[in-house]
Amino acid sequence: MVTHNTTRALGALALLGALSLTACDSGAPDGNAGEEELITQVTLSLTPTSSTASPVTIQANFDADGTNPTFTPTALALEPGTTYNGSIQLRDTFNDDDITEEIEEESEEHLFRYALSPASLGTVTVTDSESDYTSEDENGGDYAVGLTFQVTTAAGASGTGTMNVLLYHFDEGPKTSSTATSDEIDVDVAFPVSF
Amino acid sequence: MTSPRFLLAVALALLGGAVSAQSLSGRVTDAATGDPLPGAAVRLPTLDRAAATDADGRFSIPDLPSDTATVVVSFVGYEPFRDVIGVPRTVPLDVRLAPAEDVLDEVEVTADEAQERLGRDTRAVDVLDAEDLEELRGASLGETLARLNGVTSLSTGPTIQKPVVRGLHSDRVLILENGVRQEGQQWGGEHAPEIDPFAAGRIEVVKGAAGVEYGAGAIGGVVRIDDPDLVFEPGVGGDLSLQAFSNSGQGAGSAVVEGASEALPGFAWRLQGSVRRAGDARTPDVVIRNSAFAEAAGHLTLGYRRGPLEVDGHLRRYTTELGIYKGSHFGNLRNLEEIIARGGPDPAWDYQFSYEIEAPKQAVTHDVASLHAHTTFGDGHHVDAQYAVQNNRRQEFDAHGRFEETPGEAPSFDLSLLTQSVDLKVEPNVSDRARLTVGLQARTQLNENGETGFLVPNFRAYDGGLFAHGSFAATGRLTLDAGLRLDARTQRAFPRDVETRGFADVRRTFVGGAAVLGGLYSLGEHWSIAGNVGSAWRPPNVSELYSFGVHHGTAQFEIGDPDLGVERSLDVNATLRHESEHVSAEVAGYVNHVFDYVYALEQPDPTVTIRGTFPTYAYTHTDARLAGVDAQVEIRPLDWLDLGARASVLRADNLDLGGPLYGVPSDRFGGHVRVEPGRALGLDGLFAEADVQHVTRQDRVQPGAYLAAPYPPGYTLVGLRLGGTVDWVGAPFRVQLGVQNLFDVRYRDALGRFRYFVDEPGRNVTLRVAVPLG
Repeated sequence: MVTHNTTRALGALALLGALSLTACDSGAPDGNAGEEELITQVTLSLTPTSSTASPVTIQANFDADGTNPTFTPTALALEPGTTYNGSIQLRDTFNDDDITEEIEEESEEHLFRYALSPASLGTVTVTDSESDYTSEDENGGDYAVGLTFQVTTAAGASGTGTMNVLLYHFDEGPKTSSTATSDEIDVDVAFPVSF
Repeated sequence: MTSPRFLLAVALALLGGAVSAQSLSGRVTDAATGDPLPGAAVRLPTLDRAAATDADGRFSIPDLPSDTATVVVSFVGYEPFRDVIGVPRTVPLDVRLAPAEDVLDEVEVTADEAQERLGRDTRAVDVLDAEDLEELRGASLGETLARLNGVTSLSTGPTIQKPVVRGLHSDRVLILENGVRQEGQQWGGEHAPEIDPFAAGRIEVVKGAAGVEYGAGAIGGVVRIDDPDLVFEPGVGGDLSLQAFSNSGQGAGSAVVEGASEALPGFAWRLQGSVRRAGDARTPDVVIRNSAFAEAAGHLTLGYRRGPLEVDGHLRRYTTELGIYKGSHFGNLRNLEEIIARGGPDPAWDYQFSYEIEAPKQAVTHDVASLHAHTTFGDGHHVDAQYAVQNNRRQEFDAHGRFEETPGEAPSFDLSLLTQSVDLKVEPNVSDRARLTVGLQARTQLNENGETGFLVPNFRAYDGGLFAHGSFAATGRLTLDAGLRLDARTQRAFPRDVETRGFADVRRTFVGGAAVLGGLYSLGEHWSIAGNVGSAWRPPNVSELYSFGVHHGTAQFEIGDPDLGVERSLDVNATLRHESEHVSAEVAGYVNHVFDYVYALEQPDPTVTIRGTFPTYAYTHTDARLAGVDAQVEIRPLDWLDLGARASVLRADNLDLGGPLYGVPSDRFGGHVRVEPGRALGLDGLFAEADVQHVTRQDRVQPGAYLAAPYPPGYTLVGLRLGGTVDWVGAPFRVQLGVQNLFDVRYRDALGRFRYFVDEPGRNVTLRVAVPLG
């Protein structure tokens, strides 16, 4: 009697198990599952303030995972002793999103830093501030953003170097000065330059 | 049942055991319920022989001289049985023990525990019983287990702790909760086990490879967490316990209500619930920003017994939301170097203590439903069947949301892992001298990513395993243990193709075997020696196969190897145990050789990404050897005084590269003094204890290995505890006051994942109160 009950209970359990083991789908991801924030293209456009030099651009393209940069052209060709007005554009080429627009909208949470390396090649200063964009001035201060900047090359600059671009993200909320840093760097790219 | 007898014959032939003429066997049961009493001590003091009963209450003491002998049978909470019998004896000795009228008899308890410990296992096994667990209530599972010698904790700040057994952790240590294998995203070092230790009545840690009984993954050890048995006597009872912790402002509480009704004979139930809520922890100097957490768990157990049939069902939910130290989340190597140079939190924060949990954070919910049935039939054959379904939902929120989102609103990762498993075990009653278990397991898993983020690939996997495990009392002193197992896992995964951002479809099958051969030799009533050669294996997990990207908090770029094979271990260990009136001691030595140990090795070239440059680690394999000694001794020179000392030493080597293996704990030494003046004064439960632990600096570093900063220095921590029972409004309140890190020492641990950023918590005063309900 007891054995009979037991057999029945075990049978039911086995059936339950068998059903649940077979009733399943493959787990294949559907559509765009797991899409993350992506920046795959960074472009610098530099226009000289004097007419003696010509405008130059350089574009860094990354793989879809953000690795393996290629630069087009291979270096940014700058003239010594020249001042350029510059701008930066960021794109997600896979989803065809203009990230620059998103940074404009959240300009109080973003700050670009630029530097020529070695420093003897020249200086870079940021020329815009939060009030240049539509975003609310949440922190009460009109701090730098860096979507536009000015590059002044040294008169004696020659050879090659890099122009380093850093994008600090202030996820804590707005930045608190034009020289603030954060522990969140979204973009850190060294563009090759040559003279 | 001819086949079990045939198996026994084979086992006998294999083990080459000698059959003796005189033996004493029998069974120990509860006089009231007829239930078997496993772990009861059966002693023949005049012949200096002893044995402990097995899970079915059975014992056997062979190789006895023909004589008359006094037999003493004792068990915690029962009146001891004493009789004079003749050997040989024609009928089995069946002993029915009556529950003790009064509380525990101290001397008999000691004798029982001593026999239980001496004969425990051919491996080193440590147990935290209900009493130990009560003293640790309110702590996480990782913290709780770190009390045991040879077990340490891998921490990710104050909120995440996972157990490390003899230098191995995560996918190399199995956790079983009431017999159900816990299935979460345990590959991650910063993923704590989704277990509420409040509910546990007993936690057992098997140290070393245990692949035969537990299957794939039991390379470093097994943690078994079991609830107390249900109470089938009609009535309702319960227990309420509350804890407060000063360091993080943590409050915790747990309530258990259980009972059985006369109207429904054979049924019993238990409902357990617990909550923990903590604010930010504090180092001796600063508040650890965003280290608050909130946790809640509930567990419903229903049991039914009729004749030999025992059925129990469990419904369990565990849910936690925990903050991750704000300063551990940063962009790239440049950030990491700035943070290390700074030595602590961002000085601009000016952060104040809070209970708020902000991003980065984890939110995890783990649900389990299981049904377990056990019965005995025929001449004492056992059948045990279990079905379990569990779902693990893990959401991780980055400090840093997508551009259009606010941090903390949408998860960066949202993984759900659904596991179903069936276990079937048969224990034929082959002989009084031998136990045999034959079992099979089947399991299926489905892992899916939510709409945001992509951490590890979606996959579907099927596992199957088959094992036979037996023990055999070759002589009265020698017990042998042997087993074999075969497992297979087939898996279809959908890793992301990094070039196209589409998904690949990869099928792989892994096959592994496990074996164990061991022996336990009793050297009289006070000593035993055990040895064991065990093996285990595990398939590589999906993160090791298919990772590709930056691991936040370590600034490492990790690359999986889709062609990795299985990892196998061969573990040789020996344990010497001593139990006597004044001394308990255990010394265990082990060498665990892991073939094709999977790890992430630093690559010569860093990865350049749009977020900067990252040191790059690629998953690969090596042969590894983990060898060590765990030793502990407890001396009771006086009735009311306990002195203890312990040491745990581990040397782990990467045999392919030559030199130390990365990521293992450093050596630990400790001791304690415990005073129980109540024993001398005839009062119950009053105690005071001081303990000290010294952790050495990890100075074994793989030559050429990349460490963002050198390993932290060694440290010494002191703790104090004071407890007793206070009668108040007619109820016995068990009260315990404790201090951890008494001297507010600043320290960081080599295994702490936040060792670059912030110190571990400082002084913590704890208050625990528990009272029975009803």
